[in-house]
Amino acid sequence: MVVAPSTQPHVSGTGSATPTLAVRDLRVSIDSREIIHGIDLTVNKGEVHAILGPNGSGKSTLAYALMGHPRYDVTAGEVELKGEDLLGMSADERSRNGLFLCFQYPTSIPGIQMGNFLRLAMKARFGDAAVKTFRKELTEKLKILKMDDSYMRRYLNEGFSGGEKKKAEILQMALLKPEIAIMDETDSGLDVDAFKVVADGVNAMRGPDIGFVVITHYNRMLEYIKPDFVHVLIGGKIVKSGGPELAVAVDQNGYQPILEEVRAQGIEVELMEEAGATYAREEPTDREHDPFRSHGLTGL
Amino acid sequence: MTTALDAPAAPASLRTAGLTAEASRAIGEWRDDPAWVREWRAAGWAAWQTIPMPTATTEGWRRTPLSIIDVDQVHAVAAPAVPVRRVADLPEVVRALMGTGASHASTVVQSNGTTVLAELSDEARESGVVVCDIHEAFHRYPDLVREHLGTLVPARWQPGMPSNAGKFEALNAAFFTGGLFVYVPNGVEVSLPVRALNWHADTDAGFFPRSLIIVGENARLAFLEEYASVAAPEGGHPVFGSAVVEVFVKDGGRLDYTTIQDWSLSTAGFVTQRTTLGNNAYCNWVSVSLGGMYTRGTAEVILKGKGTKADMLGLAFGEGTQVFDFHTLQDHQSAFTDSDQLYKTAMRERSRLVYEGLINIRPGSYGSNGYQANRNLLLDDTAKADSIPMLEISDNDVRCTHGSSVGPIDKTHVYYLMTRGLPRADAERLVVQGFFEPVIERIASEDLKERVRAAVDAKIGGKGA
Repeated sequence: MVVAPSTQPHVSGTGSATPTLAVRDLRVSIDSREIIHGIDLTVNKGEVHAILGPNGSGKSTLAYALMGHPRYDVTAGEVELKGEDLLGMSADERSRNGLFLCFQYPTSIPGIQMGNFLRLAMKARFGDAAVKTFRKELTEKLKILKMDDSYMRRYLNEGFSGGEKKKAEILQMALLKPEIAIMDETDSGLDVDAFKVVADGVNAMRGPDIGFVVITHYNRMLEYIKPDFVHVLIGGKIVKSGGPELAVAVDQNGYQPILEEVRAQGIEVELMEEAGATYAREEPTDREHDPFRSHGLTGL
Repeated sequence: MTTALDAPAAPASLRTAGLTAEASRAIGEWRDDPAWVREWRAAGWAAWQTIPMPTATTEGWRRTPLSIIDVDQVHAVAAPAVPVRRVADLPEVVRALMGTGASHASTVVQSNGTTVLAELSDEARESGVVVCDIHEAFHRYPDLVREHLGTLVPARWQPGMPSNAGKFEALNAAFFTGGLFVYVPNGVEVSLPVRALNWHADTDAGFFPRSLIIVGENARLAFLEEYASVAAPEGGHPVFGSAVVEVFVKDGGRLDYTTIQDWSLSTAGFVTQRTTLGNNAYCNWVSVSLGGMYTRGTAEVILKGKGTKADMLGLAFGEGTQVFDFHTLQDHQSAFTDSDQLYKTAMRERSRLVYEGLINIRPGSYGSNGYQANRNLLLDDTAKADSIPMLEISDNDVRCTHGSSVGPIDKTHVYYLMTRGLPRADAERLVVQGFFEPVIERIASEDLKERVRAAVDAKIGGKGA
C-alpha cells in the first residue's frame, strides 16, 4: 500500500497508551466491491474529529462498517475500541462497549414506543440500575433538545420529520453516553432551527469522556461543532489530515486543490458512488412511502 | 346481579348422541326453545344435510385441511357444567383466563353450552342493558330476538348472501346450545366493557354457541368475547365446533368489539361473525387468534347504512402446525361508507396462514373508501402464508386500496435496535411485539391488551398456548 506523507494517521496528543478508537488499514467492501481502501484513524476521548468528503467518498460506509452493519464486509485491517478487537463484536456488543452511530437515515419502527425502547436500551447498556434514574435523565435531555414528553409515547421515528428524527438520535446518544460517537451527516435535511438545537445538544455532551467522529460534507456543521482534527476522505482513503483550518480551506476552495495535491504525489484516487448511502436510502419504512396508505390503519 | 341459570341438565340420551336429526330436535326440547326456534333449527339441520361438504377444489376452501375433522365422531351435547354465583367459584382454569377482571364490570361465562355465571354491572342493569343466555332471551325478549336471529347468518344459506358455502353455519343452527344475547337500548352508553368467556371443557362433544349482539340507535358498547377449549386426548379426534355471532349496530351506534380465540392446540373450530351497521354507525373490531390446530375465521362487516365506518383489525400468531384460515369481507352497500382493515400475523415453525379478504363496493356506494392490508411475518423458513386480497368495485367516485406482504422479520429494524445495545434475540422480540402493537392497542380493555401482549410474548419465545 502506498501512503503519502499527508495521509499519515493523525497521532493525537493525549499520549495515552491505548487510544479509545484505533482504526488501522481498514478495507471495506459491499457486495464484493471495495469502497474503503485502507483507512487509519485514531480517536481519543475528549477529541472531535471531522471527516469531510464529497458525495460517494465512502464516509457512510466507514460509519456503517465501524457499527457492524451486516452488509458491509471488512476485508482487511483492524479496529480496536479501548484496546479490544471491535471487528469481532456484534453490533449490540459494540454499542454496549461504548460505540454509538448517529444515523443519517434513522429507521422508523412502528409499534415500538420511543419511551419503552429507550428504557430497554439504557438497561442493555448500564444494567437494571439505569432504569431507576432513567426518568430523571430523560426529562433533562428532552429539555436540552427542546423535545416534548409526548415523543415518548410515539412509535420509534414513525412519522417523525427529518429534524425530529435527528433530535431523537441525539437523545439516544445523550442517554447512552458513548465513549466514541460517530455522527453520519447529522446536519443533512435539517432546517436552521433544528440544526442549532442538534448542534447545541452535541456541544452539551462534549467533554473529556467522549470522542466524536463527525462526518459531513458541509462546513456548516463544523462552524457549530468545532473540530480538533479534520480529515479529508476521498475515494475511500483519507487523503489529508489537519486541524480546523483544513475545513476552512475545503469550504473556501472545495476538494479540487486537495485532489490535485494528492495526485501530484502519485497517489491514485478514484471518485465513486457511495454505495452505503444509496443502500440506506433504499429502505423507506415511513408511512408516507407506503403504497397502501389509508386514512388510518393500512400503513402500519 | 345474577340472572337465572337454571337450565336443566341434558337428558342422558342426548349425552351420547352424535350429530343426528334426532339430537338436533332433542336439543330444542331440552332447552325449551319456542316453536319458531325449533322450526328454524330444523331448517339448519336440513341445510347441513343438503349443502355438500366443501372439498379441496371448492372456491374458498382450497387451502383448508378439512380431512382432520370427522363429524361422525362428534357428540351433540357436552357434559353439564356447574353454574356458580361468583367468579371465585369458577374452575381454576377459567379463572386464569378471566384475569383480574378489573376493567369490566359485566361478565358472562358460558361452558359446555350453558351459562355458568352472569354478572351485570349496576350501571348496565339500571340503564336497561341485557346480557343473558340466548335461550333465556327467546322467552324474555321474543320479538326482539325473532326480528334479528338468523337474519345475518341464516340457518339455510340464501342465494346472494355474502359467504362461501354456509355448511358449518348450518351445523351451528342445527345444534346450537348456549351463546349470548346482548342488547343495549337506544341512546344508552355503557362505559365499562361487557366480557364474555366461552369455555368448552368436553373433548367428545362439539361446541356450537350462537350469539346475538344488538347495539341500539346512538348507543355505545364495548364487548369482549373469548373462546377457549380443553385439549383433546393424545391421538384422539380434535375438539371440534362451530360458533356464530350476529352483530347489529343501529343508526348512530358504536361498538368496540374484541374477539379472542384461545382454543387448545388440539381444537379445530369455525367462527363466523357478521356485523351490520346502520346509518352513521361505527364499529371498531379487533380479532385475535392464538390457539387452535385449525381455525376458520369468517369475519364480515356489512356497511349497510349511509356514512357508516368500520375498522377491522386482526392478529394471529401461529406455531407448531397450527393453521389459520381467514376469510373477511368489507361489504359496502351504501354511499359514503368507510372500511379500513389491517390483519397482521406471525407464523413460526410449520404453522400456516391463509387470508382471503374481499372489499365489495356495491352499486350505490359512491363516495366510499375501502382499505385492506394483510401483513404476514414468517419467523421460520418452514412457515407459510398465502394472502389473497380482492376488490370488487361496482360504483364510481370510490377510493380503494389493498395490499399484502409476506416475509421475514425486517433486518433493518433488528440492526437498528442492536446498534442501541439490544442483543439480537431481544431486538427481534421487540420488532415482533411492535409489529402487533398497532392491532393490540385497539383492544377496548387494558386487561385484555396485557393478556394478548403476554400471549404474543410467550409465542415469540416458543412457549405459547
